[in-house]
Amino acid sequence: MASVPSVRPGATASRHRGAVPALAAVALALTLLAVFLAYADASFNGYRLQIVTLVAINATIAVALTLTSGFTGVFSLGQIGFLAIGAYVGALLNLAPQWKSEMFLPGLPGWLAAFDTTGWHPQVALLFACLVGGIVAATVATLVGMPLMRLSGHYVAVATMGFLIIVHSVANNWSGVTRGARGLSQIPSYTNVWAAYGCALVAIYAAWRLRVSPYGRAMIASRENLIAARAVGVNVHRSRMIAFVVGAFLTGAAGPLLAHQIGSVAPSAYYFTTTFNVVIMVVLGGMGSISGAVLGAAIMTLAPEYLRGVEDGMDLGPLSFGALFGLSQIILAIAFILVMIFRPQGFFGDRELGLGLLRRRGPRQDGDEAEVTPTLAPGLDVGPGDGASR
Amino acid sequence: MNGRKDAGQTQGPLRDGGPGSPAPPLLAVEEIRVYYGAIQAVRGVSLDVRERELVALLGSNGAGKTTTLRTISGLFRPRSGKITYDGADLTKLAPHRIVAAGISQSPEGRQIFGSLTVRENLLLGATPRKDRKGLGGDLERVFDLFPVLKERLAQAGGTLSGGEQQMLAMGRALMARPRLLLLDEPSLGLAPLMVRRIFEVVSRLKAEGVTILLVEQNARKALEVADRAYVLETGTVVLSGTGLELAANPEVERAYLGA
Repeated sequence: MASVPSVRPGATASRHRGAVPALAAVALALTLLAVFLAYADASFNGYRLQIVTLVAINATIAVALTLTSGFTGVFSLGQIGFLAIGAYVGALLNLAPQWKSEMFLPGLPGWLAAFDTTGWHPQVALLFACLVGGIVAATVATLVGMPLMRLSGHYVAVATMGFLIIVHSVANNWSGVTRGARGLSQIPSYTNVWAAYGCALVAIYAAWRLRVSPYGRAMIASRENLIAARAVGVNVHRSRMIAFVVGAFLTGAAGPLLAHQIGSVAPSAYYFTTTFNVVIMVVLGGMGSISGAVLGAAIMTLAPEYLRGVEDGMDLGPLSFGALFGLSQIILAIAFILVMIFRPQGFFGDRELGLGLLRRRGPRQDGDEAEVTPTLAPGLDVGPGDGASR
Repeated sequence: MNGRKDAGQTQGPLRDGGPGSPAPPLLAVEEIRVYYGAIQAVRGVSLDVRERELVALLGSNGAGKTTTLRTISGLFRPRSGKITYDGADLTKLAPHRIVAAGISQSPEGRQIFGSLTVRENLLLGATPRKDRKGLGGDLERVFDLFPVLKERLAQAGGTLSGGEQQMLAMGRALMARPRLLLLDEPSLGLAPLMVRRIFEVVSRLKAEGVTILLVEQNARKALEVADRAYVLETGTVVLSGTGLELAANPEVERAYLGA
């Protein structure tokens, strides 16, 4: 009892001390990002700019999967189904009406066939498509999640994969609307780095706000210990539903960005390969870590491009190799295997870069987490002082 | 099987200073049967807990004590039987609704959320509550009972010692502002000093008017603080009575107090 007045002011003071550098760090990071994007926008060629943009789109999807699966422990393999829904919705909204009629889409309702955004400002049309794509995906997620979020473990993984297969099948066979395997093309290229990074930042902010809210706490609790979570009164189904639906919204919103970046939508682009790429991003970064998802997305987007050079062949002393196609994938795969062997919890585990979550020491593998902590904290770490604030 | 009847008849006159006995029990468990798959863990347990009472549930490993508590919390569903709380049927209620109704549990083995901070663990205890304003005061109340938790607030739950985790589990359950607190083996695996500390808090909570159903292997300690107790063996109630009666019962002495 005597300790009450003495501890309290200290805690409050450290809370305030931590908040200011945290804000400053975020502001600094955002400024640096803006400077980089302005530079990239002005001087990168189309190919490099596309890679930079894809980093942000992939980061959005990976953050959404972190929210859906990382926070709750409910492993969803259906995420890309929501991306497909968003992409098709975006394409059908923003394709020029005369092009829609030329592609012959008899299944399209009249109002959608005639829906014309060509007169809109491209960024407004894109934003509109992202919102509608997100809402449609979230609506589907609500219906799909009702039964599926009652499952756990590998059952939910298989069931959500079933959802992905259904979306793929529909996209492949509903030719009157999706044009089947040929997909939709001539989608105007509205996406630029600003829109892509804006969307990624919204996703990161949304995920972080959710994580530090009572809902996020409930998600982590139900992942950590289902019995205890239910015993303390966590509505496990509801918190999983929130994670699933918000994750679907963010992924659905990323769909139009991708469609307007690539210029076409086809079912094959939204299937297992993409699914596993995103899963690797999240696992690599650390299930449950938002910054880990961003790092994983960056690595998974950039590394294949950088490694492409090794496929051209090289000379190693007396040895000369010809072109080795597929070598870059093999190198990447070996790198992932090594990461999983030596750091199975991914780069970040479920902690975050900076923002105070860093001080938390993992209880499970204390030793090997502690050794990596300092290397994760360049510049952005705001120190242990703000620990109490989150 | 007639344990419930016995308790009803004997507890009134024997208890000193308790509230009047004719009031209906706060919690009434009637003939519940609970199965794990094909195995029957609880074979028709009946018990009741009155307002402000501290009732102990004793018995050896596998007697069905934890299963009974978890069934009350809604974590298991009884195949038959009925659980009423404050006049309402709990049997089909979801666990989070049961907590919201005023029954919270400190589960066996602590079940702390290891990667969440002490603070987050405690706040999770308040999950089903609608009123967010009283949280600060409730945290203070928990710190008052367990001052060490205040020093550990920003620490991950998994880094606490066993005794501290037990305090956290109890504090977490108290954050729900329960009318009925279920304590499952709070002294299990703790050093004697910590056991005494935990039981002091249990007595204090009782004095503050919290109704408690306590599952314990440490029968001696439990009977010291309990108003009444039930003894479970292989899924059924074999004995019941006041704490004093059971402590004096030669059978209990031989089997659980280890003379």
